[in-house]
Amino acid sequence: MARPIRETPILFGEDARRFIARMQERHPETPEARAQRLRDYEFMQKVFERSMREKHAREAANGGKDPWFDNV
Amino acid sequence: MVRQCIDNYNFDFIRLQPSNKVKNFDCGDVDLNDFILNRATLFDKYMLAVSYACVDTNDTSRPLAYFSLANDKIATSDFANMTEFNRFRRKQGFPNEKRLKSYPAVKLCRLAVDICARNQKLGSLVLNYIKTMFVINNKTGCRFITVDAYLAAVPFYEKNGFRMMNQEDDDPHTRLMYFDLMDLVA
Repeated sequence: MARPIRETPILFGEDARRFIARMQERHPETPEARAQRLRDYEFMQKVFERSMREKHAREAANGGKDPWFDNV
Repeated sequence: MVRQCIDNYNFDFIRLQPSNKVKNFDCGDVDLNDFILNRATLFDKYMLAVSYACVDTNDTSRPLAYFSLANDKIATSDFANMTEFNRFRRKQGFPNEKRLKSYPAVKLCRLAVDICARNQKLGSLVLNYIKTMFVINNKTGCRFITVDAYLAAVPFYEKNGFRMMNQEDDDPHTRLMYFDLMDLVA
């Protein structure tokens, strides 16, 4: 049985103070990291749009089921 | 091999339907495998999470990577005293009527990469996509990404800008971490 995902707790005391203080700070990414992140997003978004079109076509051709998966 | 498949676009990235049960997957962790192979569809069916998969189009029976997302929030409470609490809240710059005590977040419920796709930066690719998706296409307001990270994955999340939520966390399996999406807003 898979371990349950722990819920995000309410932050108290020092943890809460540290969290709020951290919210006030800015830690901007480097220009290189930003460029890489945006490249990754554009790549994945393009692949996602194509993949979902193809998935819908697969499902339409197979009675609503995607043969790449067990359909439950 | 996997990098080649990504670079050559022999690679699909899809949102799974609740009926889409993954046939085969091995990320090297029994718990995570069990969740993805046997329980993920229930989370989707009852609208508790949405699942996505990256698939090598040359072997569609075994996803290269899997992740699921759900709504979450980070709530703060019980400062040492109210004066200190209010001082910090005022400094945030929210208008008085919008001083929040809890902040909307998205929870990265599970993120797993199959062992055949390790060391190809697929995890970072996925994380960069999620981060940017919630900055560019933030449909409902979402300030943070939260994750319940397996101990072995903590260095990966730290490298990707995540921070510990609690200073003292003695859970034997995971650490609660968060990422502030405001860091990405220029």
